[in-house]
Amino acid sequence: MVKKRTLEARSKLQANKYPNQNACMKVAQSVEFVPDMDDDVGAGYADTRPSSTAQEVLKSSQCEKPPALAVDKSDDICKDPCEEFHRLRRETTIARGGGGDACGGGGEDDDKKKAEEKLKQLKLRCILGALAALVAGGLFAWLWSRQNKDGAGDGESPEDALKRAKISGFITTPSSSDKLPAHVPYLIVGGGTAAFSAFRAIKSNDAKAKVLMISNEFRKPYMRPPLSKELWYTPNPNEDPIKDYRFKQWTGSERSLYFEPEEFFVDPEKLDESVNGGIAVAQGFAVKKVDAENRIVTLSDGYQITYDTCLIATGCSPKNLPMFRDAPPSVQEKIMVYRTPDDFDRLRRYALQKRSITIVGNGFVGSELACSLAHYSKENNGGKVYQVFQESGNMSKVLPNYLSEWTTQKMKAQGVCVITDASIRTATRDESQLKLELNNGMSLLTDIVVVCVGCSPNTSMAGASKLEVDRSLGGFVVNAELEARRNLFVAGDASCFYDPLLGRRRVEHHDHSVVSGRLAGENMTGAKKPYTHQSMFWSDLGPEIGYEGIGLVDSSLPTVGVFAIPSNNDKRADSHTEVRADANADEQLKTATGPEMSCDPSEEPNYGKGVIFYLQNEKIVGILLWNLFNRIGLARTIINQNKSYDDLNEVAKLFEIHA
Amino acid sequence: MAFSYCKVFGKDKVIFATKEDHSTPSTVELPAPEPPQGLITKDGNINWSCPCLGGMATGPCGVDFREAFSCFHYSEAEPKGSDCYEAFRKMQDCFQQYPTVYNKANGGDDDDDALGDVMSSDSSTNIKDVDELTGGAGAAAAATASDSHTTTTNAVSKVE
Repeated sequence: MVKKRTLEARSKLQANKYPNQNACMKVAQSVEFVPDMDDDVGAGYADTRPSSTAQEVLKSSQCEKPPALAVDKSDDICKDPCEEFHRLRRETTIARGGGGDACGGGGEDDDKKKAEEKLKQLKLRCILGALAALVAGGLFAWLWSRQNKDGAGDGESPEDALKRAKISGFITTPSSSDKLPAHVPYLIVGGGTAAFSAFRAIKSNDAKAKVLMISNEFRKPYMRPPLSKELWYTPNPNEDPIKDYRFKQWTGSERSLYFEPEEFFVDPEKLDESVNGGIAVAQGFAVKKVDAENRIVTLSDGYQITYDTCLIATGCSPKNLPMFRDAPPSVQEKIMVYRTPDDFDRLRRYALQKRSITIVGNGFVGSELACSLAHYSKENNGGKVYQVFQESGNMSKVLPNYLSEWTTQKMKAQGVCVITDASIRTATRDESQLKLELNNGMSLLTDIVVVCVGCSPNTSMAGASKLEVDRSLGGFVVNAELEARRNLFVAGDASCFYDPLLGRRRVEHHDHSVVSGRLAGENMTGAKKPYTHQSMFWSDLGPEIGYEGIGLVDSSLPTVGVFAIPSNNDKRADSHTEVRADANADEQLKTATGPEMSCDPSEEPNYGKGVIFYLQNEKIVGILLWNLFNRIGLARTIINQNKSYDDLNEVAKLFEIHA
Repeated sequence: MAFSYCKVFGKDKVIFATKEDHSTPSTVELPAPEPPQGLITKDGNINWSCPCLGGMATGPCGVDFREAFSCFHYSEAEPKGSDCYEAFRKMQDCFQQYPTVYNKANGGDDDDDALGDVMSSDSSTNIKDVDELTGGAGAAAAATASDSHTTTTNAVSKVE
């Protein structure tokens, strides 16, 4: 998929993806987030809309402490009793502090009592409401499950119903664990990219290998990168879900998210008797323990399978934030994480309904998703897309600060309302929307929140299995051959491995799952190879930013970036030049000019294309290719040198950044 | 005329380089990159791990594919592969049992295996062998029904 990310191909793709980028840019400017809302425009705008679809950023003043002028309006907006409860609480505290009182006159003490009484009532109402919601929810769930037991779908064929039930997690494959083989030569715990890559390697080296994968998902192995990228650029508007999750690759051809079609796989009940072997996937089963000494895997229901060699590729689970995790169900139902096709389906439905979507977090998934959603929203005349995070720019763990902030400007220009330097203090709910109070005093009304704050490796079986988990990096500790114990390997996100070149690491990237899964698979067939092939990663953030990295691409390291100054001809040919010359970034750059370097302040900084070296003890340990494609092999060669260079500009020359 | 210049943001340095500045050859010398292993190893064997096989060796007909391809690769008959009729027929029979696996590449996308490594390899020199296989398969299949020829060609073209 990534294989031929040549510049030419990529430009073509980008042209296809964003046919009218200049038009988009113009739209974007009007969408830019305005922190100061003391003008009447904001309030008036909110007022002209029905409260249920209010999609604007509101300053706290609009809900919690309405200025005299806006009292009525705020009442309109704050219909929900719980919402009013919060408004009242805010007002009470203000009243106590002797501050201005917004909601009607009267003596202060009187008011306080009244307010407190009302507050109590409201509290009660909130609790009752929540209870009612719970009961109703329970009833609904019961009815739903009953309906599903009956197997009744409206006009659905039995096969379709079965398939749907399998995917939605009602039916495991096979129907019970005792139909699984009692012994398999190759056992893989997990059913993701690392697992499938390991299978490929095993089968390549052992033609008749019988491989059993145990996945807690209800799907066959699939890849994740398109979930935050290509799938959003693939319309299929009438399909929900999109059949086989087909998406358009850069080549223009379509493929499925699934690595292979159903027919590729062997029925788990027939694996044992298959003459030529193959791969079977037990779907919907969890493993609670691996006994490395006796080579026995125990499923959560107690069923045991013995193996000759085993791979743990359990991946990781998205993290949530405590304030959402501990929130009432009414809030939680508007909060989601993002990792699976089901998450894609759900978010796509919201996007189709033109809901406003807020992404929390500035990493790969959050930033890619924000760009994709902004594009999708633009195409469909949809709702606003916000991205909120504590840091000062996107991808701050990866990109040096100047580039991170520059990237954020680019994302704003694409229509993402990026709110930097902000964390969410509380999340509350009115009838239709969520209200997020930020620590900078602003609040945000949104229909849905997508929490993209990283993920933690699935190592819950470590305790019972007596396997070591790395204290700081997380993940099962394995050696350079990805071996935790004899005949027990770990690959992918859950693997904390020893890289002989760069030290102990844990990497959460698609290509790392491919590379480490393959290495584990080879070693499971006896290769005894250490980790020597550095994995890479890539990401795309809209029409102007695509990058690839290798090694330790960690923004806490010192970096040297070499960027191409476009020649005059290039400038004229480049239609985005005016967008690139961003006023904000420009100023920041000029003020931060270093003393010992000779600089030409008249030159506009343009981070359009370049290479960035990440240094540790003066050596190049990481390389980021910024809008430069098809050079990752060269970057890998340089990382493998493990050397320091006097003049990094000379190293940069190798990358032909002007080509 | 623009010229190269630098900026420093704390620990992060930035160099803006002109095309002219980068037009002279780099003083840095790197070892020649190790030639990636292609479809045929140095000692003339078949590398079943080659990403260029796009999953052919690992699919449900992987074993039959290997037998047919090995037969062809090591064939000393004239024309090459003409002694592999049985192996190819077996492979075709298998392909027909899995239409969604072996007929999906209608779009002509040869990069169907998403697990393919980014830079790995381009074994274009070795691909010749597969090309020959196509020819051989054609020769071998010529005796059989014409539709099976198409199947083979399709399947093998996936390999390329």
